[in-house]
Amino acid sequence: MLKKLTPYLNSLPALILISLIILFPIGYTFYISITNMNIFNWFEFNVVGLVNYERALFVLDSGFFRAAFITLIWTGLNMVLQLLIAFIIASLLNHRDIQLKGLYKTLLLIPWAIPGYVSILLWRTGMFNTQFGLLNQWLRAFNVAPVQWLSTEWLAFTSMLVVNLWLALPFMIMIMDGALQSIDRSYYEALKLDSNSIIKKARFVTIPLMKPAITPAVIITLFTTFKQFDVVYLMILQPGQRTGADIQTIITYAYENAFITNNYGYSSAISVIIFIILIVFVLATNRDLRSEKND
Amino acid sequence: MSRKILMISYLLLFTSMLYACNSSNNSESEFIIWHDKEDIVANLIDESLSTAFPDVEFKLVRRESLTETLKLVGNNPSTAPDMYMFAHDKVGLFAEIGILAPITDFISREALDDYYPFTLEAATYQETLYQLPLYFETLLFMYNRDRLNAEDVPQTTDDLLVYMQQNTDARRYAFVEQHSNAYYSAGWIHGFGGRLLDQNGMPMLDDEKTIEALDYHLQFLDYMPVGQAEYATVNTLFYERQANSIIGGPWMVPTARERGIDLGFAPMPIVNETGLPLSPYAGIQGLHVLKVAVDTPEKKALIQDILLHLTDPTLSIELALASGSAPAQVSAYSDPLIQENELVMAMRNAAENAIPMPNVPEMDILWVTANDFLVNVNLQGKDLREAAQEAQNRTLELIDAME
Repeated sequence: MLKKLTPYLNSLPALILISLIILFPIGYTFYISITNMNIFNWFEFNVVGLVNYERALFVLDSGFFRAAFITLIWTGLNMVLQLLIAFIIASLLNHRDIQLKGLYKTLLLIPWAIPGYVSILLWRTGMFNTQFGLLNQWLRAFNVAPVQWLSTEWLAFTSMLVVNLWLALPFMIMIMDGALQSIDRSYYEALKLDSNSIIKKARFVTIPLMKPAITPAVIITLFTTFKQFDVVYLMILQPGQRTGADIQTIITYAYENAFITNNYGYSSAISVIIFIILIVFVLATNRDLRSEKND
Repeated sequence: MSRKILMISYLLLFTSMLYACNSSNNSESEFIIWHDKEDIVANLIDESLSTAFPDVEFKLVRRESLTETLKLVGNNPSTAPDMYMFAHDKVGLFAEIGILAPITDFISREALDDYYPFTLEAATYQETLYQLPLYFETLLFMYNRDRLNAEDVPQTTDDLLVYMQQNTDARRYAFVEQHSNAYYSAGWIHGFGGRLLDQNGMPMLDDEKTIEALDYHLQFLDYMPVGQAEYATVNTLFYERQANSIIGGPWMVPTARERGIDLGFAPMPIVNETGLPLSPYAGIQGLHVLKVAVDTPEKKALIQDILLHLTDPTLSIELALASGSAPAQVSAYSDPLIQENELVMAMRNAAENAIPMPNVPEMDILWVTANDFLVNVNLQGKDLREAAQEAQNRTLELIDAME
């Protein structure tokens, strides 16, 4: 009996911690979502049922669907570019002729070491600022008119994409680098008998053998990119510092249409709805990745 | 070995849980004040209180997210502070949440006779005073004396436009401001007789006077930086001598002087159409008492003594001289050092026309919707009337969602 219980007892501290850190906030958010917690009932709120969910559906208007569409494009583009660029960089880092690999790897990890908040504001003010940003200083040096990088939709979207890639690539490069190093060289040597093509090496050896290692990283990145808040909010949506680009993701849209009301019941209902959308999205993606793996 | 690690894990987990349950912020002899101010302000308050009450240990704790933290722990005696220092505009929010004790529970109205009435009105929510004012701040018209002579400072908004047309070129702006920020735009709207919120807490974004003000203001944008015209960019343009004049806060003054700018202060330009000056918002900084702090008669007596001590203008004068703010007490302006201080006196004069920020909870929403409205009009070029109507409707919907 004790032998059977031992694994559970061993993992109990970790399970309690996980419950406190992850499950409790989710459960508590759901509880708040069925109460009337707002500034008029801040500490003495009551359960009111699904009233907040009825009201939350009003947030799912045309603005929300536009934000959802932008979020999908944002997530898709980020994933494709991250995988592609990280694969190229990781492959170059694993080339046998390359020198100072350790130095390059350390340099590539720098964006990860800087707090995201600081990085984003540095990009916003140091690179994209219309008056003082480095990009416009370069343009002026070539007598080209300065560009308002964050004021129009397409330019702002592209600028934010660059910042997000800068922030996210170290993680993907590190995972891919590890996955590449785990591939046995004998597979390449076996393929050499048939062909020496780089594309064939990638298609028949590298990518299939990397897939199991990078799938969890892809899922984590999908999750974080889909619910991205900081890059979009800090770059173009800060109160009093908006730049004119009309871009919202579902999280920033929900924030601007619910959280500022100080109505936590209502805001929590919106959070739960977004949480469900996210879970569905991730489950669907996970299923696709698994079916590809089985194929 | 693994059994030992398991035991240590259990021990750590339960110790941390017990600690979390019992952690206490306050001890009997401590008096905790949260604030979001610069060190010089906190140190002066600490020094003044510690000298007056040597038996009490004052702890002034700087909190970056002061208002958000207070929302969460404001009613928890073990984690909430005894007082906090902040601008008056959150008084309505915290009064509704129910964490503030009225100041008049401790000191009489007569003890506040020396205060400028507008400072007390600003801190009053639903006829109850929740803040003891220390000093106030508002926006000022500042200029670089090396670039603009005192006699050439524009007196009216039409003069300002002409000055901008004649003096703005590829290298330098004649005048800059955060044109798409509601805190700054409010001055223009007030100058046309409009308001962001009326006296009953109703938004006035689609009011004719608001529309008129923003329509008139649009022509100024041709001579100001577009796109990113936020705090850092606009202030840096002035600090770097790429802008001759600016509407900015007193917090800019120390940096401008450090950079060697010969700073001048002028009255706000008068709107030609209405004869009213641009009238920005004023923020009144002061101390608020938390209900949970008043747990014993001795504590109540101590809070009463502290508040009475702070009604003396000495500390307000010291704060004004150190930070360039304006004391809330009328008698402070009899002090020769205050009278000689150009910045403090400019602030006091500007406050004659300034309008205290509304302190109702609805302002949290209005800051967001009014900013979006300004961006839509100023940066995205949307039709002013349509944008005003859209902003008004959205504000009303969000106010409705507060309950």
